[in-house]
Amino acid sequence: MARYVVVRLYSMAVTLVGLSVLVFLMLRLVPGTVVEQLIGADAVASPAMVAELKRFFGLDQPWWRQYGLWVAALGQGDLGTSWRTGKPVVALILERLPVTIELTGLAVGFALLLGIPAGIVSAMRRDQAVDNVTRVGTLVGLSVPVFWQGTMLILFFSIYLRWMPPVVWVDFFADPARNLTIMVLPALCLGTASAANIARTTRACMLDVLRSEYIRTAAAKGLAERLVVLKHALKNALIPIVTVAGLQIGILLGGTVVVEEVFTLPGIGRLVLWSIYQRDYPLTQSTILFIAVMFMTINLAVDVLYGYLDPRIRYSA
Amino acid sequence: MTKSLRRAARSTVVMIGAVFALAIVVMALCAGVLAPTAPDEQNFDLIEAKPGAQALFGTDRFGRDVLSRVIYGARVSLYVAVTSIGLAMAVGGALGLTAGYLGGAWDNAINRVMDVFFSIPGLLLAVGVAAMRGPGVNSAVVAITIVYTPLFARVMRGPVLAEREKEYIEAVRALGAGWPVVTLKHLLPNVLSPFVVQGTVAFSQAILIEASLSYLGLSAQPPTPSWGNMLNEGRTYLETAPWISVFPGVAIMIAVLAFNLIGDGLRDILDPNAS
Repeated sequence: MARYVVVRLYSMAVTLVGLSVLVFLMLRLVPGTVVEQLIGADAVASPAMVAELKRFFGLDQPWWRQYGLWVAALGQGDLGTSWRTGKPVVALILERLPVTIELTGLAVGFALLLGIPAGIVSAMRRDQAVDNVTRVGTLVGLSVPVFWQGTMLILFFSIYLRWMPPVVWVDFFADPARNLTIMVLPALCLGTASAANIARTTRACMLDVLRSEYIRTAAAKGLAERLVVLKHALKNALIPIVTVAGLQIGILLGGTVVVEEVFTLPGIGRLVLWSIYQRDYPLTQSTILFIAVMFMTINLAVDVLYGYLDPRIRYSA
Repeated sequence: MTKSLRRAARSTVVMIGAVFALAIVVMALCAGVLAPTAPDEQNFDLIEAKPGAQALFGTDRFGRDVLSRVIYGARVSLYVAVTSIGLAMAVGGALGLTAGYLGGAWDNAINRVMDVFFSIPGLLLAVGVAAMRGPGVNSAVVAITIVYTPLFARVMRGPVLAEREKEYIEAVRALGAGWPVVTLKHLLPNVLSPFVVQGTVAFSQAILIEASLSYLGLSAQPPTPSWGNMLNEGRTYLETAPWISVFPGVAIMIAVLAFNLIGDGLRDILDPNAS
């Protein structure tokens, strides 16, 4: 296991180097720099002024030198300084990280709470009305665009029923109740597709397990159905479910960019989008790398957890 | 393959999906005939009119017919999905086929590059690429192609690795066939099933991603109607004209659902191990 984790960490480091080159070059291949953004389309600027601004941002250097300086700073734990806000990138990320983590956490919680019971009931009542409803429901859940669902929820709960407050961000520690009220709808939107995925996996795994001989034996011994399902079947079906749920966390991280935009939440997804529009290279580069590290760490943790839950699984590095 | 197609035609799930998918394709191709008005035709007597006899899906703030815009919007969605998934399947398939068959340094290099693209969530990658390139339909095509190429490369590579060790491939090689002949004529037909299934599933996801990009203002630009940008425009008028947002969303959902149904059904038929 230790050897496997070390090899995966090494592989992660190589991938991150590749990603850093890719993001760096992609940003520089795009027409228009922060200098043009600052000057504006209609303003008249002297070549000397443009040259001075380029020198200020280090854009007068060859690309490989700019890359080297960025990577060298990263090596020392310095993610750089945002060109547009003048703040350290790490401070901007840490400022917005709690919002994204809370949103993702609530969405995963919602997905598990809805997905696992739905999958179990669907498997237990195979080909009955409840199973058919669940199967259609999961397909619809996978097909609903998250931004449309968000818009419809806002329309229904905020505009028609006036139950939800207008989305003005409030920190959890400042006012937990209001914060959770604001986060309910975004988490519901973000978690719907994951809930559908988890329900489908749970149903498939439970159907497999319910066909096993030991389950038939348990039922033949006269154990109550609930006990057979929850105590014997679910335990063995849980391993792939946990894996799928873990992988969903990474996918949800990507989904936050849209949900944060719909509900105007100040999270990392919106920060990346804003930084790209502003041609704020240090902020974009470092934030994308940060998200990649989070994403890869989650995937690694899921793999390790998989082996821990099922000791029969052996890793090959 | 013919046997599989016959089984697909008998599957209720596939057929329901196919009927809806066909309806959307017809809607996109015959938009000029089916739409009551041109998508950008303004009727100042019908500003934000409710759905009714004069305008079945209502009108927007410029008096444009929402139904006509939904019908024309199918064109952008399908164009982006077909082009991007087609490109991703061609490029990813070629990379996966050669990586799996040739192995060695080439396989290793391709895998490392693919790992880079897998290291960030797909939707974020798409948004990032489209935002860097600037708004436009072609940006959406490039972004979705970049997201799905690594996936198709991986889906192709796995079965090729298993298939290349089989005796019939060895026999073809022994007869002196070069690697392009072995891979394209003998290997490819035997590894296509999971690839096609993945293509159908990815197609529905491409429609969703395109709509997300449009919604964020990164794909088709107004006045060209796309389901995503209609939703974005309608967001401002949620209180006064919610129908502007409702119908494009329903259209996206039906389109995605249709291709998901086809993908699900095909997976059960062509690739039973995966389900």
